[in-house]
Amino acid sequence: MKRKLSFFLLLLLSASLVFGTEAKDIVDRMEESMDFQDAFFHAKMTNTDRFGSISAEFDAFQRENGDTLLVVTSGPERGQKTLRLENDIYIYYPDADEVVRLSKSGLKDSFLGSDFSYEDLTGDDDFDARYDYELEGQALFQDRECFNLFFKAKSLSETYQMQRMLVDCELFIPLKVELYSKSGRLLKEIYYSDYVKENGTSYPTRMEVVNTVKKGNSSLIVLSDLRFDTGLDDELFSIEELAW
Amino acid sequence: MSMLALKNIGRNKKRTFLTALAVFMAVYIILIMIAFCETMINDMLENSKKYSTGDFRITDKTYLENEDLAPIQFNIGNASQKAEMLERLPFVERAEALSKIGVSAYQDGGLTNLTAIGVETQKSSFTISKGVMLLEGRMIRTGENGLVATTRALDKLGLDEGDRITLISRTTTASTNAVTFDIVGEVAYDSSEFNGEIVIMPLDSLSRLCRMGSGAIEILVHTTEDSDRYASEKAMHSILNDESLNIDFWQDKSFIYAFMPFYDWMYAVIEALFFFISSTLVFNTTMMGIMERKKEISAMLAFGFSRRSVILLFIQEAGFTAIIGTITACISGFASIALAGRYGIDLTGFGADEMEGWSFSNILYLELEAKTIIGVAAVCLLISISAALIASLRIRKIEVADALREED
Repeated sequence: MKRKLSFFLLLLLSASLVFGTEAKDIVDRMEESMDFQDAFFHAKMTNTDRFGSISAEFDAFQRENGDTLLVVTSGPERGQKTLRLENDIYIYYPDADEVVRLSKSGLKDSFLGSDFSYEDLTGDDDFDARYDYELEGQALFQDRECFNLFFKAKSLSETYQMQRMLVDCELFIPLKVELYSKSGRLLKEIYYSDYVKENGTSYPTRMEVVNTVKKGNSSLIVLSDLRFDTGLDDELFSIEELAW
Repeated sequence: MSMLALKNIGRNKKRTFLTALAVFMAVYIILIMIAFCETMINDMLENSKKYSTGDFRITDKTYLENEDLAPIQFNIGNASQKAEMLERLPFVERAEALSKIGVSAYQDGGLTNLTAIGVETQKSSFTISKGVMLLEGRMIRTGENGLVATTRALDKLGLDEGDRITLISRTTTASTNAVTFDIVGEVAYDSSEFNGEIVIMPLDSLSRLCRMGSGAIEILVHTTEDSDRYASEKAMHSILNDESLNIDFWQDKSFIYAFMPFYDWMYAVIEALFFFISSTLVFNTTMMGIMERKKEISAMLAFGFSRRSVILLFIQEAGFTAIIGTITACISGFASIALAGRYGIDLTGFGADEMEGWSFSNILYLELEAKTIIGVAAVCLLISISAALIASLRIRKIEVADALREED
């Protein structure tokens, strides 16, 4: 009996070690496939709620460390700029005297009234630093075999305390992410599709977020004109330059 | 008998004074209390109509259905133009387009929640009514990027007239926008509802902040007193000719009005309590008078007065005393109410300006109709005489021989 129990425990330990190593490998390969020094893209965003749909367009500039500049190029908010530097969000409104700074709690605020938060669209995806994760197994999603990864935040200050991600087994790109609150409530589902490969970097050109708290609310972003590693000017990411 | 009653009243001035004082106090307090309650309730209804509902409130139907979500994208387009159209109707005194929206003031990375009210500066209750008190600076003007703020808003922000403030608001596209405004003045309102953390700005400025164009959330229509509700509604629907708009009569929208039955009950209970206290006072003083004058009553009975005529005598005495007390109370009450009606009673020290949501007036200008004063006087007299009658009935039980034998 004792021998049987020891064997079972050993099996469990080995399985967890294998899955742990495998999860790390999957996340590393995913980060590698989507890695870039800097990126630029143009985006058209359509927000849908119970009252109808509204569209806006914006340009996005992003650096590897997560610094991001979003410039609204059409619609009523044209001219509005959003800059993320580390955990702060700076927003430039053309009619305001000063640049508005939102602290870390502002990261979960909505971007242009969409279901995408600033956190969803900006910042880095260094999962090793921010989350503990494990492989929960495999699942079939849109006819693709996917790894099912579960992430748990290392810090209480993370906007999403838990995530569940389906990563394509072959291409190592995320196809679906479920975002949870600390209590385990599903907040959003994000679907990534229509990946393009540019300079060795894979990037989704279609991202759809479904708000599971506000039924009927969703936002769709379609990207175009993607450019990677063009050597973006550092000044683009300065607060002083934001108002110019 | 009446002459004897009057003579008796004059004979014991201290007793008469005390009885009359009891009646005086009861009538005076009831009069002041009724004036206070009636003025307060009337003011609450008036304030609610003046600032919140108008006689009619016009809103977009979809906005109204989802008012708790404040979907400001469902505003009334060309609102000022529509208000002008409504003013052409003979029963409309004034129609004002306005928007009330929650905004945040941005200061050094922090946000402070405020209510922003966008108004048509030339004709809004928030700018032209006599309840507006401009404490500092000047009133807002259409087309300018200025605002006036309540004292509490300025205190919370740590700002003064002449400073600038950046306000952030949700927009009609569900996004956010920020605009920097000049604080041109400090205001206070006669309604507690609007002395919280509030800023008032021209409608076009607020519309620019929340990207509402020429729209407004609501149009408040102030009508003449004699206008008929249903005919007015029909005429307004006809002139606006817009199926997407909803017209509400103020009584259907007023939070205060919904509480009126409760107020009436509360009011009746308080009044009954005061009437009960006054009747107890009269009863007690009459009773004391009878106990004190037991020998005198016995002597009268011994001299051949019937018990009925002695009871009548005592009722007359109480009646005359009550009349003296009631008349002096009515005169004093009327004078006090007139004085308070002219100069007002400042309730801010009692926290009236803190009572948001109830439209309390900060300063009460008491008023009371003459018929109410006459009514109170009549009821008090009736109660006094009834109390005296009940007390006087004890005379029936007085044993003449025993009372005369009793030592003083």
